Amino acid sequence: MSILILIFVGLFAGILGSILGLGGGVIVTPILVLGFNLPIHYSIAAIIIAVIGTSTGSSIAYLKDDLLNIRLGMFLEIFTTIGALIGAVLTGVFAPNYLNFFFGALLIYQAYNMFQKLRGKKPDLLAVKNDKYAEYFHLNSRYFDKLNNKEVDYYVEKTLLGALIMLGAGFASGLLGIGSGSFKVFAMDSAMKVPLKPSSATSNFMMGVTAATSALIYFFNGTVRLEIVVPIVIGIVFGSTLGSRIMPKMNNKLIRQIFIPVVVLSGIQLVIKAFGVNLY
Amino acid sequence: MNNKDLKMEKYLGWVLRVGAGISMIIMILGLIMAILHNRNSDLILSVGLFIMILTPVIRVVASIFIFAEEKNWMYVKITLFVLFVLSLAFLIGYNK
Repeated sequence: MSILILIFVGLFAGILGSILGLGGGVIVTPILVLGFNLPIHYSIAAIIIAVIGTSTGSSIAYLKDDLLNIRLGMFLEIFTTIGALIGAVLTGVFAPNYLNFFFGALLIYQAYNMFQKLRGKKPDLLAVKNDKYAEYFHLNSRYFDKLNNKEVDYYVEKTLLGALIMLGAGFASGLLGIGSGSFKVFAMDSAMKVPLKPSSATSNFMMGVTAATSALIYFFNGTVRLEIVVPIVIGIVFGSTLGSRIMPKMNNKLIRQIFIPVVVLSGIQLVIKAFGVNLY
Repeated sequence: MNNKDLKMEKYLGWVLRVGAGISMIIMILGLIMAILHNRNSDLILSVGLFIMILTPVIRVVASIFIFAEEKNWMYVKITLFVLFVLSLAFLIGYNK
């Protein structure tokens, strides 16, 4: 019975995660900790592996649908992996309270930013070709917009700022086990002006690599509870395969409408955690 | 028209599909064995999960070869560097 519940949890997390470009930890963590009484330590391990499932499952469709920006993903992985490395070195060195507050506030800011785009105050505008790093590293690309049935050429701007946020994203996911996807979408969508769908797809693509190191560590040190992780991952792969088929046909407005509450929720959770309030 | 690596998309899609496919089959098999209380189910589940975890790493390794074949040396270097940092992070985290 619990196997079926876990598969369904995975299915739901996979659909949502693949559409938004997130790992799905926001959904899976509370269910595991509150519903299954799984200690947080084991939950983090489960989520890191779930991230890989979402990443792989959705990237298959996004590669086929011509949504992904492989070079941008590879280039930015330099920074997420360095961030994760710094996180791994610093584990246990200092109290994560300030960090929780900082990253929580950043997530809420991201939600605010998205809200402005939703209300049309800062509508989705394509960046103009003016970034020398984007030019040098060949990051400018195009994607196929299934909704309007046309190829969209886009440019990347503020490459350095995006790289810096990615450094933070890798750091946060390595040290705190959070936000493997949301900060990546933030960097691409808000800072680098990559259109929302390639942002989400590329975030999904990168997520698996950022998570792989920690997942391997957890796998070998015995924090992985097979009877819990495996059903979730199976559900997640099916869910993300499904979600990645729906996403290209959705409009940006709807994607943002789902994204905002999810990000606000994780942001608030981190901020209150900084003040010693643990929801679980 | 801006850059696009169509060949890369095709090959990487193939790598991910094979990795996820094999892993899923083994994990589902293991899950059925676990339900039937087979003694070896944990081993099978571990193997399936391990393949799932390894798939993104194999994807990075595969892109090095594809970039090399396209003579895109800048991205060969970038990807090699990513692989190096990944290994370093694993070694440090594992020994902690």
